[in-house]
Amino acid sequence: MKIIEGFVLRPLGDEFIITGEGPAQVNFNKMISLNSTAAYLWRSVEGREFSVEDLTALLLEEYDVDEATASKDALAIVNKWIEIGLVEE
Amino acid sequence: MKTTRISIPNEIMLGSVRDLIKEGHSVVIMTKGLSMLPFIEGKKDSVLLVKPEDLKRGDIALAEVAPDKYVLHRVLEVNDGKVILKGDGNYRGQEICPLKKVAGKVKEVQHMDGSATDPQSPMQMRRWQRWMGIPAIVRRYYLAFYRRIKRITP
Repeated sequence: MKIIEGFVLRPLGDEFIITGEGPAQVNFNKMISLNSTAAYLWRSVEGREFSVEDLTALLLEEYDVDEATASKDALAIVNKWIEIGLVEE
Repeated sequence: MKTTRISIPNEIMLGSVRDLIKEGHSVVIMTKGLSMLPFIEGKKDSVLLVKPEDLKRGDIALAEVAPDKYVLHRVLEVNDGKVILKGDGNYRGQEICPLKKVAGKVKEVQHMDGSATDPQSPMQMRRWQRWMGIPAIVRRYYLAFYRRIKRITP
């Protein structure tokens, strides 16, 4: 799967937001906020093909969690991204 | 999809807005406050902001009038590298800031029903000029009445 083109992750204070950007327009009324873990995953897979296993590996690399938890979290986040239309399979 | 309204401190969000406009983006933000009534209603109207090129009297501008303090107000005068601004709904009080502190100007006011108005159109400029021609005290009472019938709260 892949992040759909046109979505851009930006830091905003202590948070991260994703804005859908047309040719030049940024709409602050339509943005999605990400926590720092989700933002880390987003940055790591931006612009390339990735799988749930890739996200699991990224979580294991960065956080002190067991594989089962990482895999469950990775799947949850992918499902969320697909549901809100940020990622295409 | 679940939508939540998140409120970000003005100085952080508007700092980002300023940077994005500088990079050449146009930016849509939701407005706050009552100071631009009756032309912009906070929490209901959004504005499309673009680079503040050729800023002139009658434009609506987003300006940093003190460190981290932004206003979205009407430009009354641009002179000698300085800008004087005032909220249409404020019967007294003006802001003065250097021209380079103007982050953007409003190209479009977007209303909740999906319609939009161009504040620079001749019709909107005439509306504003008529509004400014009304004595301040009358404007003040009119707005108090307007807020009451439209149930507008800060």
